[in-house]
Amino acid sequence: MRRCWVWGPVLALVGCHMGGRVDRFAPANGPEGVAVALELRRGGRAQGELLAVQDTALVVLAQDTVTLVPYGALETGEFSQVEGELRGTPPAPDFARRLRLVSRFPQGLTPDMLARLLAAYGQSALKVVAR
Amino acid sequence: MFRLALVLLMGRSRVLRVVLSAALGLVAGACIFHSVRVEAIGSNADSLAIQTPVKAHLRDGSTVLYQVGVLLARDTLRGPGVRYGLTLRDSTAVSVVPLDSVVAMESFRRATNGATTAIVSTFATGTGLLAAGLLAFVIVCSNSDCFGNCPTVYADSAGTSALQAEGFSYTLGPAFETRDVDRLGIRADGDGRIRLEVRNDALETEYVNHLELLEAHHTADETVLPDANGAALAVRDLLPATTIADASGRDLRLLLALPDGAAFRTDARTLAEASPAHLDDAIYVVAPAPPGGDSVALVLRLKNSLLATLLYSEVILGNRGARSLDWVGRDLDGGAPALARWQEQRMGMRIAIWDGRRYRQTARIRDSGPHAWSDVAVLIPVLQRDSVRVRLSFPADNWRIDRIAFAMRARRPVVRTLDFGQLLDAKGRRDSTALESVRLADQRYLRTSPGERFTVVAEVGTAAAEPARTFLIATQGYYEPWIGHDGLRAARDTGAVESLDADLLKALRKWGTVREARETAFADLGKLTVR
Repeated sequence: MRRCWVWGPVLALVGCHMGGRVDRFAPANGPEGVAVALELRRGGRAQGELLAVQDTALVVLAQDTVTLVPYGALETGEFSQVEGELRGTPPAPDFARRLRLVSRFPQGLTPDMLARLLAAYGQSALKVVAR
Repeated sequence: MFRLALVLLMGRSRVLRVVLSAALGLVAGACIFHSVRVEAIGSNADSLAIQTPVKAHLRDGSTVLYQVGVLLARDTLRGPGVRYGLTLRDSTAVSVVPLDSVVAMESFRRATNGATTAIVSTFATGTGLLAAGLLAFVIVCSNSDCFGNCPTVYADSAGTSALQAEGFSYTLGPAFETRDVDRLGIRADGDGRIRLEVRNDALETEYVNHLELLEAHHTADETVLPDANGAALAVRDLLPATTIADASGRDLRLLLALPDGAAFRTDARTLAEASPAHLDDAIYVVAPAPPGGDSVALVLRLKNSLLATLLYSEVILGNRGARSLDWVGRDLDGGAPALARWQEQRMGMRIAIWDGRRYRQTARIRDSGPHAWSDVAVLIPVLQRDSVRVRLSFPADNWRIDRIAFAMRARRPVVRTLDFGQLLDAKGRRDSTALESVRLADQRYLRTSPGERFTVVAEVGTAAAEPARTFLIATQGYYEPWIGHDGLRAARDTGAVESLDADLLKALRKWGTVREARETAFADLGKLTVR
């Protein structure tokens, strides 16, 4: 039983580290964007991958469908391993910058990229969530 | 969580003991809090070695993931990566990617939450990592690139910019964020405003957490200076010291009598004779004790030589070469408290008073940077009836000292804190977001890149005739130097890491051979950067 008390000093000696680690941070370990969980204003929930962050909407891959989710259509939006959440309004500039960096396409989606992405997922048009 | 806490509080289990013991460990040691920081990598980096995961986004929509990092070498990315197509359905290994096909890149690294770490560590150790203010981050820079160390503060003086202060010097990384207080030699303009320009003149990213203007009220015959802890001290009745001599026996009274730019530097012989047992130089100062007074103030005007810059950038980090990144990411965590303690003991300037039998340390002045003269006052208790004898000790040639004097009277003045009401970008446009970032010492930082500048404005009102007032600026933050391609080329991985004293000795020996050339180049650089 006495050995239990050893752990404190051991921790003190080796140093104590708390919080996030890069090797457990999903966007640092795969090409995908961060996982997102959305609660929609009109009811319903959706989960998917954050593809891009635009000025008025998020582009999300949910159920193998490329979907545009206007901020106005969101009740809440939460992002895995990212501090902060969305609540129906566009993210503040700093939050938007942070989200963009953990999306799959931080550089944004060009029309050509979007067209190829839609074609790859068998879509003729971008699905847009109604407000 | 609540149930867990309840179990821990109520139970007498092994878990409880382990957890309580761990808590004890936290209190006894230093605990470091981390988060993952994702940062865009600018295209203006010439050469850059990153040893944490990096994602590169290509023009065609594909993504290259470098899990163990990448070398950005001029026009290519080099390193083992996996390239994923637009839909992620296919992937191939790549080793060289032309930079012109890359439209965006970001890096992922473990960052230290400075504020939380500081609170816990300060609580735990009673000393605090922040005060030590130094540890390097990701740097291997070329010699000339390493001249800058911190944000510089300028004010308008008769139509030209006059350097006023440099903030949080040698705070190379978030765990070493610190607060500096510097005296400003300026008055409010005709509209009752103070305008200060803050520049990033160095090859580094600066993170400004807090900017604050302090206004000290005092009588016309007093001068207000910050002390070694940044608290204001109003001094008067300045007298020259009766003795000022360095370790080699040189009489420095004439040299240090007036603030005229003619500064003390360590005797070349003392520098050349540095050894493991003799890393320091010292200055001995004597003044008559004031009749009836129980304290005097030692008044100093000083700034750092480039020795500390050379030590950190070329010896401590430079020798690690590309490994410096890993060292910062891993060893820094375990080694930071040790380095902080070493700095407390070794770097800066230690001030000791003769009590009749021996010198007793009474204060320590942090390294303040090589750009701006810093005026500091240190309260000295009078321990002997006839005289006050003070010893200033410091790593050989670490300081340039312009003046040493004693103030026979010193007191704490009333100090008012003033917020900056406006922050203007380089084009003179108001930036309220940036202003909010520097208004409080919190989790928000204003980040600046090399060459960027901004202006802060405070409404201070027009001064009444009496009492007089002096302004001081408090700056809090840290910086991360950039990697220059010259530095990458010169860097070498030495493998084994020697003691910090051995590193200092190495720096002293190198400094002894290059100081003339470096100081000349630095002076020329100063002429260029003061606009």
